[in-house]
Amino acid sequence: MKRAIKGSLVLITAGIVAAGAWYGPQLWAGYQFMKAVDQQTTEYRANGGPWPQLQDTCVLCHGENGRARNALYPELAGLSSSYIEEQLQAFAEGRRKSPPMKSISLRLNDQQIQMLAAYYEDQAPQPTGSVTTNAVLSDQGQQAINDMGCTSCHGVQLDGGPAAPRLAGQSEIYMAEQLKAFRDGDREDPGQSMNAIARQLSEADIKAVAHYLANKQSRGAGAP
Amino acid sequence: MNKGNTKKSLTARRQFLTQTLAGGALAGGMALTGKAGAFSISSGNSKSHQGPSDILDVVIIGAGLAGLTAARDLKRAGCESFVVLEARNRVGGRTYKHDLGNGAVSEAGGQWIGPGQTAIADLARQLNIDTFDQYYQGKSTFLAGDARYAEEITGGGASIDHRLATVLNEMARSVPHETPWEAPNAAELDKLSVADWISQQDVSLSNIDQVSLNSSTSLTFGTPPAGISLLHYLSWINTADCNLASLERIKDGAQETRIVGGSQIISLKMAEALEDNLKLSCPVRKIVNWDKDIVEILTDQGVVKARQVIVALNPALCNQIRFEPALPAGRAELQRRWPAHAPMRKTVHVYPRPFWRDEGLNGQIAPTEGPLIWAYDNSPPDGSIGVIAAFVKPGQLPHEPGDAERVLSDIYARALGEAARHPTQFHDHDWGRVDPWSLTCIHPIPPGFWTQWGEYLRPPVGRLIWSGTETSEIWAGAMDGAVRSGQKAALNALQELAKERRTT
Repeated sequence: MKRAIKGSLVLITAGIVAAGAWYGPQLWAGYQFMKAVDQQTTEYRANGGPWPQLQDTCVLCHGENGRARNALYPELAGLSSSYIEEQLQAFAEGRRKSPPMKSISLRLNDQQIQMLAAYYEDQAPQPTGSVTTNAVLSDQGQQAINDMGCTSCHGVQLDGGPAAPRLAGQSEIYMAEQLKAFRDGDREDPGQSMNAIARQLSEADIKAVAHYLANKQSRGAGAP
Repeated sequence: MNKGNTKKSLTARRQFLTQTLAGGALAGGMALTGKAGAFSISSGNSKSHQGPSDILDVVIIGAGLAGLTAARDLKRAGCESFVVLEARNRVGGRTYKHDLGNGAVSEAGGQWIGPGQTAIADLARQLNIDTFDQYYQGKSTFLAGDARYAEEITGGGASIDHRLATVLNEMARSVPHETPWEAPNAAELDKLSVADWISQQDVSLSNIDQVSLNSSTSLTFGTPPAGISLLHYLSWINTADCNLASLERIKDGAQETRIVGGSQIISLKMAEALEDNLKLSCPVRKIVNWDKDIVEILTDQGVVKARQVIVALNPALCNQIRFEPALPAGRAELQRRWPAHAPMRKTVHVYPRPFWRDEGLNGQIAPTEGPLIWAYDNSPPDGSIGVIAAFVKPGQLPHEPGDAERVLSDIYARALGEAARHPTQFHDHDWGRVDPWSLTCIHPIPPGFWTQWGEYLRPPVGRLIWSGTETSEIWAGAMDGAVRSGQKAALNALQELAKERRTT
């Protein structure tokens, strides 16, 4: 079941190569299926090397190629490698609280952390799906972002920099949760600047900022 | 010792243990009851025992299958001086059901019983709870890109590349499930992930084998092959009678049997019998003086004192509790590092009928990419309504119910036909997001973990007896392991109490 596809299909494919498609729709469907799998495998290899790769283990929560499709989970695609490395260290040391990320970061060695960070930096971001736009909320969020001077660290397009992550196109609920975590001290910015900024934000500000950012197109958005 | 002997002795040990555990609680109860005057356990509550009346004999933390089984066995042994503390406002832990109306349910958590999982099967029978076969007859559907392919899979499943499975099964014989870190070549096996090992083999897996191994390992072990220690992988094959196929398939495998009314009903029935000995919505925050005669357990509903504490939680949850004094370094480190990253997210689509069965389909859908890992028939035993349940990738399916339902319905319509496009109900349970009281479904043990921290998993620390499926000698991680661990914890607690009373 789970891994059902298996051996029998491999045999069938061998049969197809020899016999051709006219043996019936079932064989033709099997041939089309295997062709699609081969195409996907080629793309997988081109993206991150031959199967299996360590980044396979991040897909369940962060999506294929680091593109989450759920506003509760952060997108990793296009985040700077230095930022990702720093976060994995923070999870391991408890400066950033997350039981799943803690156990994951504690099992990774330095080389694996560097490898994963470099991999996700290379992936093109894509705004998290199913974002509904509320123009009033977006305007309010943009205003708050201007007032706080977020672009000085996160970049003019909010696409991030070496120490500050990309915010544009980031998952909406995740972003609100992080601002609250900074505000409440559950997540600590090494320089404390994010903690100070977040403490000045009202609940309504946080909601608006997260909404604006989730809707903002980031550089490379929509790229394959 | 040759491999054959190792296996034989393991099997013998299992049989012995099963018999011991099955009969043990009752026998222990009789013994203690017989000497009630001497031990003051069966005579009931702490009031009849010397000492302050607010001190309980046992506190059990966690009202999942492990904690409730421990409570049930304590009671059967005549011990009434205990309380079960549960953080949630419900029992059942990682078993949970959605009520679909008219008595029908679908499963949101652990649900299957397989061959060799006798403890959970026996418990269900004792509680007058029926079981039925997981539906698998017909063709499974596979999707890749725009392609759709349907095929009947013998026994509802198949193993990975036969040559690799044969090698793994053979290797598993010398890796005891109970103590993988004591395998003869444990250090060597624990250095590698399953992915590392596969890469070293002469056998190169076909593209489709790679994809399906990613999916099946994610479902059974909580993460793809790159995240699992080879030693841990082998230890689970070992518990499945050294047969990887038996771990993965439906017929004659670990997904063979379901529980009528949903698996949570086992916990609900056990909880019913406990009456006032169960406190819901009572998270434990701190445990003080675990190294002294009387332990204090600080909860959101006040302080409870006890002579013995059964901690029926997974180690990652134990790590959320503060201990005073601090736990010994080895145990503390085991908890801190315990894998908590396989929470699982499950969805349910309900239809007027299991219409796919008429088309010769079994309802199973396995795409090679996208948000769905595996969908399967989760209809009630009489098939009066149709239910397709699914394991999904939490971060790859929108969280809004309407969006999540539509994305999956589109996939189901491609696989099963247009009738799948309009479910009458949709349910979604993302275990990692619903509440903080499970954290993880199973434990994807990474390379290097067992050989370094495994020895600290079970030994009690002061007055703390560790329970929960993770501590089971057989089928750790399964419902069966939870029941076994609860039975054993009750025996341990009774033994400690008896010892104490002999010396006082």
